[in-house]
Amino acid sequence: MRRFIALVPFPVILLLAACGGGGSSDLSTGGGGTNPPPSGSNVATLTIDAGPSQNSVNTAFVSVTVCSPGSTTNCQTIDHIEVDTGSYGLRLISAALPSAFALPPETDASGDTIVECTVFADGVSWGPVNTADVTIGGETASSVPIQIIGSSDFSTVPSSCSDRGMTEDTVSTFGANGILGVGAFVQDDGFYYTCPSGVCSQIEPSLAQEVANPVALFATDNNGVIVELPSVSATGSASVTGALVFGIGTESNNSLGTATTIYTLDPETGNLSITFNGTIYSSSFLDSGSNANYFVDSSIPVCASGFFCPSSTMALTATVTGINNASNSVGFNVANADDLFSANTTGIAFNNLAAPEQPDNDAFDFGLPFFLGTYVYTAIAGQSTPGGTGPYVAF
Amino acid sequence: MKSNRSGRWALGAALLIQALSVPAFAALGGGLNSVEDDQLKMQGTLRTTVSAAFTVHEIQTPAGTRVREYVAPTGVVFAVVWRGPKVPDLKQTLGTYFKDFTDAPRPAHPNHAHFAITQPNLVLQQSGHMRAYFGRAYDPHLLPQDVAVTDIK
Repeated sequence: MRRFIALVPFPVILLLAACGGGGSSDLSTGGGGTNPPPSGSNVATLTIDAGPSQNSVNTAFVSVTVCSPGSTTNCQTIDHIEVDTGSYGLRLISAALPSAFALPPETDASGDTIVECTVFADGVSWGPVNTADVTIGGETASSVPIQIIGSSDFSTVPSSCSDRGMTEDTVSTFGANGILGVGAFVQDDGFYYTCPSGVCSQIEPSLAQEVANPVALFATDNNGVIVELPSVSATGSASVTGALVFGIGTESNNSLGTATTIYTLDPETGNLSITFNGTIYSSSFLDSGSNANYFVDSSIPVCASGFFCPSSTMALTATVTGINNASNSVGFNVANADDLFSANTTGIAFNNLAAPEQPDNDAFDFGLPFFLGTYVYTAIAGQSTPGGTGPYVAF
Repeated sequence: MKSNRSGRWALGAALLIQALSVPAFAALGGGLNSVEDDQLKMQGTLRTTVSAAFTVHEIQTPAGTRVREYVAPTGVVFAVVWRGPKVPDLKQTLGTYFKDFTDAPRPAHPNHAHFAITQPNLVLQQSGHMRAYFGRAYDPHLLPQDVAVTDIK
């Protein structure tokens, strides 16, 4: 049914110059990584390392400061918050916060705290919604609804939440001290509850009460983000530093540059199309929160780790097509994951790590390997930018 | 005309699609007669597709998520597929296999957008992100003889 032949031209962007702010291909040896990191109040440092549970690969972290609304003293800075363009909103693991630190809970009209069940593909996270002033880099958003995962105040996960997956409410099960969803939407459209007298039932909060992408609530530079990560060698890297830049075309350091192709996203799902091996995968996405490129290719062996393990590194091409039919081909490599990990035991960033996607999911996921050496712009739905109105991605 | 149509039935090449007002739905590994409460619990609309090799019961939930359950001629649900803006109640959908899902070892490297289990009695993969999730689970032992994994869509 989806076996269309790709008629899309293949202008492979092998040799795009790595100019300031612009995208570049991760295939070439001279990727975007030669640029000095940008500076400015709209820049936060990104770090790729093994993370707080010491088992992360291809995961970009940032530090986030949360304060009680209006306070400059009741504040905490939390490191190792995963930067995720596939979700929306800030979530902190309760155990990563000092036990004495408290933020005001968000309540409904009856004064009951609003609690969220967040569902990820690998599990569910339960915890109350609190309100905080959120500072990332030099940008602050006031009174942002955020989620505190695994709070002892709401230790019993209702079955209607836990029935959707395994619970990941700790730093070790979650793999980070929290997650910063900076994708192309403002609200997370999650499952919300109140629990009067300890009995939780689902509610429909107002949009303003839902956990929200803090970037959209910044006073300035609030129309999107750029994830800027340097390229790494084919054997991977043990240490990577990049930048999370706020705003698109709002400052001298966040112009679209060479990322002139705007790929608009489905306004409901945030997905676009990616064509690979002649098949169109119409539920595809670019996701900094995915630790590999995930796609269908039954000809590539899979090793026990779940990643692809071809006998030798493969150079492949896929075509990204926006809802607006803007289209370009992208080259990427797939190396043997077992060989990568055994040859570079301290490696935490690999641009050639890939894994199988289930054919009928209709999806090709360009994960963090795609972002290594290619600056990826994500514009928030409804926000105007020099490249048009979000939701879109550009690279 | 008529013989032509029945001939296609015999070949299993035709599909009969009928809308049912009475819910009939089951969890993975369960039987049709045992469970009718998936649809009730999900408050969804049901569509049933019958082919020679299996029957597909498809629930569309109010949240816009589509759940398909594949029933063998023996009446056993051998596969389930879900897709949509919200993950469905997987305990209801996976039945007794839900514990295999939640007890499965965590992946070596954390990843919130993909999860996969490959065990002798359960192959499960769930992927996606907020507003767009998809997953599939089946028990290889329950696959009818003439059904390929690629038939589960």
